[in-house]
Amino acid sequence: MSQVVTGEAVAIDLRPARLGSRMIAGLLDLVIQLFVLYLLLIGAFIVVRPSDDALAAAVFLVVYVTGMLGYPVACETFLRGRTIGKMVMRLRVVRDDGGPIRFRHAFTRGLVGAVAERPGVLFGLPGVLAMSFSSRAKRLGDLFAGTVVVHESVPALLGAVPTVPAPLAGWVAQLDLTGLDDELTGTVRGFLARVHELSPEARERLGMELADQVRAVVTPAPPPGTPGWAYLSAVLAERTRRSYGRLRAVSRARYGPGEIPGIPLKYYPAHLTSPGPVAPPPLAVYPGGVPVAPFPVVTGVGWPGPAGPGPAGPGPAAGPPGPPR
Amino acid sequence: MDLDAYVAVHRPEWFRLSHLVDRANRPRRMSRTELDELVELYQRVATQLSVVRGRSHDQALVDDLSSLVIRARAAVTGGVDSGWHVVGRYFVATFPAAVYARRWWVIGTTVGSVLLALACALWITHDANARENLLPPSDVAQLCQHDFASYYTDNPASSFASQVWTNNAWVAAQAIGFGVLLGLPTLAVLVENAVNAGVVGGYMSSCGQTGQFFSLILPHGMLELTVVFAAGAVGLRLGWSLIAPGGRRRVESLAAEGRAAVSIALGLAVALAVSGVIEAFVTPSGLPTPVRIGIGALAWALFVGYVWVYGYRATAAGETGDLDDELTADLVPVTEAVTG
Repeated sequence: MSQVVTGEAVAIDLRPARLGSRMIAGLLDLVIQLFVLYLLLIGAFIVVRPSDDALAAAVFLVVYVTGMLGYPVACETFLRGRTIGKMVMRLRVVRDDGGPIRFRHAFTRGLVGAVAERPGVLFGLPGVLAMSFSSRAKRLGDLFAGTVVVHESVPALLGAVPTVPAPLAGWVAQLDLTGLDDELTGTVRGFLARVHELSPEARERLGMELADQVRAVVTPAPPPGTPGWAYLSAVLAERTRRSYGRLRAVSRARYGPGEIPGIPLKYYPAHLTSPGPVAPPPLAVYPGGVPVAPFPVVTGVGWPGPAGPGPAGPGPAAGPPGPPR
Repeated sequence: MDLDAYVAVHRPEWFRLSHLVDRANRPRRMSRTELDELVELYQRVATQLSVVRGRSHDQALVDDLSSLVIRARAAVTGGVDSGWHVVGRYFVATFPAAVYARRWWVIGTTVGSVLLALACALWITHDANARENLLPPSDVAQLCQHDFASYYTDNPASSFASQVWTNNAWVAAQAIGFGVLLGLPTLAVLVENAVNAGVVGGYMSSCGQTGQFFSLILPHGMLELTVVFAAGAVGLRLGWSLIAPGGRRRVESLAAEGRAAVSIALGLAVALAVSGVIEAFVTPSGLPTPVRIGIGALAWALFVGYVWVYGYRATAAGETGDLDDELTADLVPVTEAVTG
């Protein structure tokens, strides 16, 4: 990942496109170019009707240069850094700082590409080698034009967002979350997002550790028998819900009571915008209490029940404030 | 601040911005309010990116948001270069300044090529052994009696001019483009060019056709060869920039050199059109040799004078031959500062 700061002083992470996607885009363009060459050649010979070798050679060269150099340069100039192949692969040529390219950039990339990086020259090795050794996968044309090819995409949906398991709906309303800082939240969020990638041992160990840390700063403690994942997920979801309410208030102040113009309602997170059912009263015990994946509760060792200190947990966890009633 | 909540609150704006950016590819169809909204949203989302990227554990989210900001930036700040003033400025300032800045390379390449050609010519003229072994005598006779002169008249003059022009322009562009391979192919082209001219000249002179040779080379050749040497010099300079990038950061100096060098190719192509016309219409014409050479010398002097005068003036005014600063990258490297 390479980071730059744009003219507006915003740090941007450019996601350079690598050899694979660029080669596919390049091959697509090559097919189009050959097709264009073929059509142009027929058209030019029909229109010009060269009667001598010299004119035929001139027409041929002009057509060749139009296809090999003119096509990418015109595309990248008028389509803001894209060729048809790049559009298909969702790639775009941008300046080193992420800004839009101009004719000069496109021409430099194009000429270097058509002269020195076409497959006929040293088997196309110069370009491939340059891309492999460049931290931003620049071919020689990019290097000398000051450009980089990046992936472009719409902001993806977030990964699974933590939710409050139904049995805990009443309990979360009582939570005091003031002690839970962004850093710990981020760690837990990261853990929950990739929990299924972890080995059972690591999942257990990390999960316990994190749950202890959270329990140290969040009161009250969960109902006895709450699985670790449910506990962490519920705490995070409740924190997000409360935070969302505050941020939405700010956003509403900007946009007025309605929604942002032009944004379909489906883009608003339903689980956060809907008022939701009235919270049931807190449970005394998590129903079932059966250990559930991703990391099961080790009942009897003290977590998450109120029975005693967590296993080798950090200090404050040793004296939990007791069950919520 | 809870990041999930922050993302949830602002994601509608991201979708809206993405939608506007797509529409901005046809700005004429956007309303005034939409354009205002695009600019405002771009600035706001850029700020949101800087908030998110400092805190997010989710690299994919940061990447996607970055890419959205890049697209929005292109839509907000980018336009297609247009207008004849760009073209006008290119010929008044950009091109001559770029060549002028490389004048010592051009002069060096010219002197080197001429000396090499001269050496080859003298070698062929004075070494009977080499002369006989390099080309069979029948070919030599053919060259002296017929080929060299008829090369200029085999085809209709207009066709010949088009061929010569397109070919020379592409050769010049290639000589510049090949600079990126350390300039080695450029050097090879220059050497081959000089050796060819020298050897042909040597044969012509050995069969007593020295006058004929010069009267058929000089009218167009003065301008044409100067332009080809200039292209070669630009290619060599480009290759040299890989070895010695100069004062600035390597990325920036290579890019500046590359853009300036490649843009020279366009101006040289125009000059080669002039020499192509001379080669097809003046060189083989029935005009007396002094007149033909005079026309060639005039064209050459005009080109050199144009580059020198306008180049000197533009360089003094700060023109470098590269794009203006606001069109090159606005780079502040943070890779070192932010461990990412």
